[in-house]
Amino acid sequence: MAAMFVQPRQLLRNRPLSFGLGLLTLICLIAIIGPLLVDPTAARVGATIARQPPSPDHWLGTDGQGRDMVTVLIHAMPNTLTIGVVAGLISLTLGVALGLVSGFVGGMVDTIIRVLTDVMMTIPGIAILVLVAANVREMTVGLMAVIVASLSWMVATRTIRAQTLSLRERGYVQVARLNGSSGLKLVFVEVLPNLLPFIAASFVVTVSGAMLATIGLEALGLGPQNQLTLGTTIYWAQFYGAILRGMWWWWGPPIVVISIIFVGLMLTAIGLDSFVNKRLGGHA
Amino acid sequence: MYFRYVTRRFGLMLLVIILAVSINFLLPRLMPGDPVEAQLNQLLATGSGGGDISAMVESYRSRFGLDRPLWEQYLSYWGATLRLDLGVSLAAYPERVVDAILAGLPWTLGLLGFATLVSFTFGTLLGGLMGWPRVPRWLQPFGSSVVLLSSVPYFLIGMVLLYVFAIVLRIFPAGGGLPFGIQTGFNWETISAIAMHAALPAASIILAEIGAWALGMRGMMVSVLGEDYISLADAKGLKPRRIFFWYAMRNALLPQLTKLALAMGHIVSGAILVEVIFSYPGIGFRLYQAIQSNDYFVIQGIVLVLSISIAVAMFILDLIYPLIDPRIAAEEA
Amino acid sequence: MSEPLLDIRNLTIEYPTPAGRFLAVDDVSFKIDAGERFGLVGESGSGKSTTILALMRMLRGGIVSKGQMLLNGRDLAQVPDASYRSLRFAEMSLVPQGAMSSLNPVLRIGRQIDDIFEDHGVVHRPKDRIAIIESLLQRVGLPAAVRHRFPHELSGGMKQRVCIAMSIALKPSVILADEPTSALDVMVQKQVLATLGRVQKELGAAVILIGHDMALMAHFVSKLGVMYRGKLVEMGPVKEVFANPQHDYTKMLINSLPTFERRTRAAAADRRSS
Repeated sequence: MAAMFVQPRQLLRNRPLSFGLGLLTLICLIAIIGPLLVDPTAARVGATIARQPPSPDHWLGTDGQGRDMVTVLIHAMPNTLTIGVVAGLISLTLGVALGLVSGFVGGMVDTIIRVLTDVMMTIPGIAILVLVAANVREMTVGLMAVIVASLSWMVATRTIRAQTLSLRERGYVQVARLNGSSGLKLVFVEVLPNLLPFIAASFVVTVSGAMLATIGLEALGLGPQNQLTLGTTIYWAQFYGAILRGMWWWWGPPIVVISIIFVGLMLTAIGLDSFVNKRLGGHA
Repeated sequence: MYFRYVTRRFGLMLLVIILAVSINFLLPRLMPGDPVEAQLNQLLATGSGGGDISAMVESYRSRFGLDRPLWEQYLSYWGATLRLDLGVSLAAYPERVVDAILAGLPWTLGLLGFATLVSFTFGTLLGGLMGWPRVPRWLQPFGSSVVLLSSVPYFLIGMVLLYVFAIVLRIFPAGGGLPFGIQTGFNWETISAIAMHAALPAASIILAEIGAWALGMRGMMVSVLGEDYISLADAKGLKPRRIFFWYAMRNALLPQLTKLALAMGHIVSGAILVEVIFSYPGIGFRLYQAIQSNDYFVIQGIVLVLSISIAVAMFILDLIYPLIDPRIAAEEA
Repeated sequence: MSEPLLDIRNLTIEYPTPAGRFLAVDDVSFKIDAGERFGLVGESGSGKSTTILALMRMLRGGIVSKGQMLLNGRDLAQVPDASYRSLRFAEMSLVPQGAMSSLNPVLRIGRQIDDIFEDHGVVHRPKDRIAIIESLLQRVGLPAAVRHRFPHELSGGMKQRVCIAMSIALKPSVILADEPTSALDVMVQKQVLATLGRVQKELGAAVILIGHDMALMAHFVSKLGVMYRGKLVEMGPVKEVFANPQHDYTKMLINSLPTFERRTRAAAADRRSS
């Protein structure tokens, strides 16, 4: 059994990885703890005077509808993160399952899945998403996650399939086969543990893609209507002409938070990438 | 061999187009409550256009109405699509969808084409240099910051650029494709006006994309440098510049091009939002307006055109690919 | 010939590793005269390839900590990096081990021979250059039309011969052949080695043939060196090494050859040196 064990120390020495994870942890903490600390009523329309620049009362000012920006931001973060993570998880599961089956079973099944993946990757996701979202009566966080997930699974499938194909031919898998291990056991005991680094890397990529699609859709006005998200905040800012009016406190902070999330995701992906490659190098 | 390769790729493209048209057809009909019917009813109710509209709605109903069997509707849909009859804009009646798309297409193509070309070329070069051993010190940190920048969605960068350079510093115009009341013609005034208006949108896309290409290329370069043919090139006493361009970059370029093909959907999506931020009169902006006004046929039409254009663009790239890597046509056959 | 063409004195090459310094080549000395065929035999990791890489100054991570390499009396360590480039392939050339992957996949063969001349400042009229490239290909037994082909269109043996053609383009005085036939079929091995021998003799260049196949060595070289774990444990005329091996490792290598082979090889070595 050639399972790979990870040393925490090794992870920390990988600078992009630790920095990226650090940023993400920070965001998650704010998203989880924040809502417990601020009064949600301040985020309702007409809560206070509209269009106020930052002041001691409102650290990040208020938006065009009289909402306190700090509260809005803190309540929007968990929603955005939820959509991204849930969509990421759904696509990942789908992607890993398809990739494993495709790589392991091979033959016609593999061909079908491969062609399907390639074709789906060609279609511009945003186009389909816009179409679907435009047709939906009431958009919610959950529904959004599902819609976004349906178009983010392809990358994971490709990666996992490629790795499964190469692992299938490795020595220890052949040996296990000869020893009579059945298909399912083989997958879970021999192949899956060695796929973990790739699954982790794919997860980060999938979540990135899902979040990008989500924020894009929201900024176009197709996001959840009754829940605050970072993307919809930007949409409303754009709608009210906040940029032209110089109300940087409305659209600026969401951009900063989104940037931090994406930079964190990218650093984590880069860190995982070099980590994964190191393992490959060691196994050559 | 090349012929067989081309036919396979062409077949794939056709498959994608068929899928796109079909999805476009099925989606509204799968949704609870037919938005098409709702739109048509709404049009009739508001009575804009009067007699003309009722005639159009009736002809539409008879061709695509829910009372006809699904496969008949499907065939009529295909017929209409092939005739480029994508319907009429409900919000800007009686403008045809095709015309709305054609109006915005050149703007989007120009912006997207230019920005993608610039970011791909410079990003690839930057990435190649980042992976090369003897380069100036400042290149790595510069490259890394550019890479990090690319993780941020295009339109967010656009918003910041808009604010800083158009509102605060007032160097560039704040939106649109052309200034008001300009006499368009093939003259310097028109060209420079277009350039000024396109500058910030293009910059947003370029800044956001360049890092992604650089990162990919750097990875490819590092792996290519480990290949035997680089060692022999070194042993042959070849000049470093030659090895960099003809032995390293040329080989690392190939996977980079496939990434371009696969990234098209992503690039187009980003560009749409950039157009929105800058009110740039391209297809993306038109799509946004259509979403705002529930202009269903326009949305459908634009989505279809986008899907098909991307499929065609990928096919074109597929054609170029074997010309750069002589092994491809042989492998695929 | 009083002064040897290539004089290696007490060459020691080290690699710094987390576990301390690793001696890849340990106090190795040998001399090679012009036109001589020298074989360096040993198992993987014995330091044979490292020696060659040091000669070409292509070591990645390793350092020459002791000793000298003299080419025509010139201390190679003193040559500045910039000049070393012009030295490569002009005075010493390399026939690499994996010809399969040593040719640039995206350039035509003719181009890959052409750029040797280009970057070494050798000027020809275009027509003359083409004629030279074609004659090089013909000298290694390949049709002139090969110059239009891409590497993937050639067989393993053909690719190896292209590498040989490239190695003699600038008429070097030493050809370093790093296991040029390892990846080839037995029949093709013979042909390729024969080709190498022929062009080497025509050129009057010396050859250092690296390998782990004693049988092949016996057919080809006149002087044989045996390397084991970085040390040169035995050296001498090939016939003597086969007849009277001194070191245990050499004995083991010879004994590993099937008896019939051994006798035939020794006889062949005998015939050639008399």
